Amino acid sequence: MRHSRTYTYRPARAAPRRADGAVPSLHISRMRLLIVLVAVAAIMLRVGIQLVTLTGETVELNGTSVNLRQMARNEVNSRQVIEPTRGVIRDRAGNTLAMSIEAPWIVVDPTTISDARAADLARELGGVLGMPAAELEAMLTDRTTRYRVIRRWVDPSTARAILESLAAGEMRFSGVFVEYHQRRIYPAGPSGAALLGAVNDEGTGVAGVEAYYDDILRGRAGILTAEIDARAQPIGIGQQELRAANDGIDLELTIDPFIQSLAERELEQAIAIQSADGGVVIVLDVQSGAIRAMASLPSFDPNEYQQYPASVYNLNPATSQVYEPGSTFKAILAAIGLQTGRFSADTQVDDTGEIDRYGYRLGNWNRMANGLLTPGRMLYYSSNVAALQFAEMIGTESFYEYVDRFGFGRPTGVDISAEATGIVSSPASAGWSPIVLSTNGYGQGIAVTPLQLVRAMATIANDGVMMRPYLVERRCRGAECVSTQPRAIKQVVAPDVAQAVQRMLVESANHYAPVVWSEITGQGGDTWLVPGYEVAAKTGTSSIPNGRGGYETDGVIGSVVGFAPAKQARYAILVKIDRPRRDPWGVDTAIPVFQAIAEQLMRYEHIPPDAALAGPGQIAGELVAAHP
Amino acid sequence: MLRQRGGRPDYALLTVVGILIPIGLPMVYSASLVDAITLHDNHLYYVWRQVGAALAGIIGMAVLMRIDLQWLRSQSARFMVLTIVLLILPLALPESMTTVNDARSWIRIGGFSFQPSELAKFALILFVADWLSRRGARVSDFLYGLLPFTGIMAVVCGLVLLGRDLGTTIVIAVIGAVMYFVAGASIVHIAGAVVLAAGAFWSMIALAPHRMARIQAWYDILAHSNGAGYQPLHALYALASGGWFGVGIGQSRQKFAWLPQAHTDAIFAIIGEELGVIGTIGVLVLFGIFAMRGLRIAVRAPDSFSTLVAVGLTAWIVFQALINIAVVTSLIPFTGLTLPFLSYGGTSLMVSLFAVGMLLNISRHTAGTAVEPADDSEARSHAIPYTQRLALWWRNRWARLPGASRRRRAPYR
Repeated sequence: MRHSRTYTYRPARAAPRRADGAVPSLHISRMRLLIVLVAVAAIMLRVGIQLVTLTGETVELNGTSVNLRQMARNEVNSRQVIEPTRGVIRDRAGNTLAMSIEAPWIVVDPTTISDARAADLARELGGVLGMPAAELEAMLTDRTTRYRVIRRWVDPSTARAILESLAAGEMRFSGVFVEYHQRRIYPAGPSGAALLGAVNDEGTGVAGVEAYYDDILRGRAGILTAEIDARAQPIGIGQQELRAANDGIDLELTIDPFIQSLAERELEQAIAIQSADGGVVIVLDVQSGAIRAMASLPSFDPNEYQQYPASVYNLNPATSQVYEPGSTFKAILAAIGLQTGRFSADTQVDDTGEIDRYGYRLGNWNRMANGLLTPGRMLYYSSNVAALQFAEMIGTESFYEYVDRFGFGRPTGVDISAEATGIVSSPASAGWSPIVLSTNGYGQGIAVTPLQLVRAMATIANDGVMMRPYLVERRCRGAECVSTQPRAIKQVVAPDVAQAVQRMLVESANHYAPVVWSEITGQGGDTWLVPGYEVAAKTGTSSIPNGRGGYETDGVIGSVVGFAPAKQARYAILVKIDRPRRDPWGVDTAIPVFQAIAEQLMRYEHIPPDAALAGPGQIAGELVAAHP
Repeated sequence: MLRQRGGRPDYALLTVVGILIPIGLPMVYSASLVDAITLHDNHLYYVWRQVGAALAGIIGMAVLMRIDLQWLRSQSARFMVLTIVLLILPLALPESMTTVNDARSWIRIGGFSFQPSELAKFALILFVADWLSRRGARVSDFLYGLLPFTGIMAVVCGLVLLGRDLGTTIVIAVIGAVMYFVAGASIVHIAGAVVLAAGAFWSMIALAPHRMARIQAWYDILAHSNGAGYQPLHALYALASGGWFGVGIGQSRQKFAWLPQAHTDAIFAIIGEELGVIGTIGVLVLFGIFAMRGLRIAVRAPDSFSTLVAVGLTAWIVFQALINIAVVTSLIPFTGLTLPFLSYGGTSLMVSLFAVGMLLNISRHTAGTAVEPADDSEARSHAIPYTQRLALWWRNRWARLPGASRRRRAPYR
């Protein structure tokens, strides 16, 4: 083609020709070229001025003076708080009771979402999150905030779907952010919930151990200052400074998983059978003060504590609720009397069934007279009339001195938040009258927490030495652990006084054994509550104050407080049942719970049974559970 | 008429380009680093492609420096037709082959892609230069000058605009306007055309919401900082951060995904951030020298066609650069355009170098050494084999060729 092909140059056909047929040649004006050059120079001058202007400290943009350099810095410099991981809570066997995981929140900045897009976005998000689109659209178009949480704790697959869509550059979720926050997980759910408490969405403990130890569980936040790119990733050439986060300290509780589940199971059964309102079981290690079980009902699921009323998750019934101890308090009365020497184990008072004091007629539960009673028999028959007289023998000053020494009316110092102090009247308090002393003798007109009472009982069991109750066995940072040392607070009563009361309480316990055993052995008389062991216990039936100075007529609190074995006691146990429906005294409900826990604890601790300690039809070491 | 043995090319112009490209490569490297690593796992990905385009561009430049302009002139109508076909093609092809960054102005085949609109600038310059120079003094005539000229411009601009490429449309319109002005158009006609173009321009903006948003964002950049004002604002961030002396090469923060298209359209902002006002004014001065040399070549061109070609090419490079820089500095509303010689982009770099090649070609035939033809119609007698039109081997070849070939020189000379 190269050599053969030629071309012909043709002028445009439409070219106008002058009359002579010639096309006037085009004259290029140098002036016009110069004008072009001047125009270029003028534009360049304007651009140059703009470039110099932009170097200024502040620049005017549509009338607003801004520091562009600072704005750029602010965007690039980031200060990121690195959340510490909240400490793990374990029981003494190492099972995890509470732990934190990273879980996603879905948040939006409504100011970046136009009205036109809000409807689409609401539909897309609603589909993924399972929320009504209308509700979402309202949240997306309310531009009063730049940060709105759409849904907390979505499941990871949902978050991943949104993140992948965003990463792929799709528009459907633009404006939506996925944030990871620490979520507190309680693998055992409602078990132990009352003592563990819960953590709110901001990561603060709101109740129980979580609240009490919030400072050390929480840890210290770290800070990462870095220059970031538009995807919020630190940039390679930038300055970075990291103050690492200090994770929270792990706690190992004194809670024994076997004893805790035993307590919860027995309590739950009893409450279910009686349709009771609730109840508490506490098992305390007598020699150390360690809390081995603390069960209460009604419980809640700390994973979703917001779905329960605040009164359920805020208060641990074992430490925060007070009740009148009733007859169980007579054991304390006996110890005070023997310690103060106002009466001895042989001192007798006359139980006439009813007695008049300060214009009131006070009496026994059945109004029956029991005749002359020693302190031991007073406990055995649970005689109000005798207790009243013994309290009067002790006298106001000594009685309240020792009530205080036993720790009533003041917090036990246990490491659980919101501990109640109880209500103890004294001659100094308003509304005092001498009848208060008389009725306090048998546990009326005084309010205690279950933990206060079981600790007082544990003090008697521990030969008069009061231990500080505690819930945290060890605090660990990684593998480094610090153990809590059991701490004796004081010798409340002399060892011989304590031992005398221990012996009295064994007979008291045996007096109630038929509640459990009569059906099995066919014998109605006193027998061993736990065959093979001496177990000490005192029952109580408490009236419930109605808040108008009197008592409710249709409900009681049945309780048992005791310890096992009676000598060299290992465990103090409190059982409290609120408003059993088919048990007017509550005792028939509380005794089997106490008995079941005591007998299984003896076995759990491998304490050898004494073959001599078995009544007719009983075999030392055998379990009631073996008799269906 | 062009001499076969050309004079020396304009070395000053060549030097300007020889400075701009070496400035561009490290800036492209720096600005593209983040994208290159995150998207392609190769920190030199964009740089190698740019170097390849530069080499291809330099070869093209060397060829165009020696090609016979009169032959190009003779083919200008065919080029124009070919270009119009190529401009229609992206509108007809499936979108997957044609759309980049929402502009439907590409043709992509396999791994290669190019923009017909870049070719359109060439074809238009040649065609308009030929057409205007042959119109002669009649250029200023309404019926024979303005009307057909407006028609040509409307067709080309319309097609480019259909490809949603407003920036290139504006550049083409400016090229045409400058050539028309230099060719001696009546000032009244130009004023009328400007009014007409402004009306068309405004209706284009009013019809497309995203263009209207850009205008609003330009007017109040802070209020639109999360939308249409995001890129302009971040370009200003980069320029302001750079100050007088810049933060140093490679030290830009805006390139870390903050400033969109940092290595392409917005590279001037990265130059400002890393090299400061010293760097940006330097670039501006280089384009200023380019304009001076380009127009000097136009003044000294051997014929009116060459003059107009030189004016068109110079206007193209210089005004595209100025519009790009004005956008980056927020002097005018946002529109997507590359900065010639500096921005990443193979097609852009190559055609810019081709333009330089043609300018240098014209510079080799300055009026001082070439005889100006009395009338362009003389060109009709040109009949030369294709191979001989390429001036590359011209010099040695004539000596060895037999007389028949020599005789062909006569009409040419």
